[in-house]
Amino acid sequence: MGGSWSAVAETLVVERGAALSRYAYLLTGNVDDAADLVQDALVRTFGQPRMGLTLPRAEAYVRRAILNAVIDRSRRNGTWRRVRHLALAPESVESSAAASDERLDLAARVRRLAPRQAACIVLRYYDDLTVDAIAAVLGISSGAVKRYLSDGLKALSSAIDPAGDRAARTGGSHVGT
Amino acid sequence: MSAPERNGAGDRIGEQLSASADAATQRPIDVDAVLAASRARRRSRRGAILGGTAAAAVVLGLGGAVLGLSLGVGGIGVSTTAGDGALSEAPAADTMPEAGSESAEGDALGFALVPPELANRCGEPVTAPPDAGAVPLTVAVTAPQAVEAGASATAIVTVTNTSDAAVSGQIRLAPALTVAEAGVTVWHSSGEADPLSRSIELAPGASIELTGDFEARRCGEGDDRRTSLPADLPALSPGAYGMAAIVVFTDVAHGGAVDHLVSPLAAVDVVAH
Repeated sequence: MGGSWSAVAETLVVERGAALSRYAYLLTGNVDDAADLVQDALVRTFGQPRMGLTLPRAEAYVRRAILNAVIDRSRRNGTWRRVRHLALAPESVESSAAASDERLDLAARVRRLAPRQAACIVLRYYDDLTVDAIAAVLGISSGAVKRYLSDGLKALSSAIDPAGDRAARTGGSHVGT
Repeated sequence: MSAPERNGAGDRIGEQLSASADAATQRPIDVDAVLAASRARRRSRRGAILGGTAAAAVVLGLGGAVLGLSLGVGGIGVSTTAGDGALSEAPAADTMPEAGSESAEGDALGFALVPPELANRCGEPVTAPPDAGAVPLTVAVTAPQAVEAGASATAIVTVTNTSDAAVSGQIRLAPALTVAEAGVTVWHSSGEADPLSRSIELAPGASIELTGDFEARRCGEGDDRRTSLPADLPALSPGAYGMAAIVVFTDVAHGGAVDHLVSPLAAVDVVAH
């Protein structure tokens, strides 16, 4: 794509803005937080000169900036996370009857993963990216992506498969690329 | 590697995540606000390429105590100096790899190196520091008086808070060093594969010292299109050269803006081996 950075920015927002917002929402679970994260990530991406900035590369920058922000937030909240079980009542027992409960349960479980695990899960299973494409987007190795996916899936196994614990223990199948 | 295939349990995950995202009404992105904020940030970044003053003099003028922190990370050293002991640092556990939000920038340019190591490319003019006083942190580099041609040496880079208010953020421990001849880059550092940053809080007048290694060797155009400069670069000819440093500072209090703090050139003599 040619043109100025502002043209790339406008095209990115028009064509991929919704996808970026959904990605941020799945990582945060809050519409307002997601919108703020995307807005900030866009400004971080286009707020400095970057030669040869194509639409795919700009989208990768923004996704990485969103993830970095989620990681930063996770670090800041780390202390609270470590002690919050002392202050809050136990969460209600999860119901497996209603599909919506299951859906919300899984999305919430994804958000409880380490941010990079969650990002890999979302990019792989929601955005349908290959392992190599995820590695390129997040700026990490394919091996790291596979590890994050494997660990994330193990953590989610009880939510996605009643026999998930067994699959996790026995190794399950492999991450498709 | 153990994990379900995309078309197995993965499909269920995808469907549920999709349903969850569909159930929420996303707030539209204000593209005008993005463009306006990006333009403002670009203007501010141009102004935030900072220069230092004679920091060694500043540090000496403070007459403060060296708090004596030495991290010894991969040959990178850091020590802190403060007039009233007003400098505080985060615990060692806070040391962590840099986020690397600009890590793809070098690749976008066709270079394997990334900023700030790419700021001064071999054979190109050295980035000029901004006007003193434009920003709170100034950077100065102190090089050895003389370095043998072809040899390695260590330079001290001092970052000083010259403002009236405390400054806090993340600082990359490895400064990017540049050797210049008549204002043109003849050597620059290649950076760390996994650069470490550290949280700092500098009181007014306080400073922090970083160290970095450099080589009295000459690179040419194209030598920095790799992950590091070639190992067999020719030695510099004896003579007078300049040395500059760039320090990466992330201003946490202002949305995590990443500033490249640029020092003015300091003199360094290269002598015959």
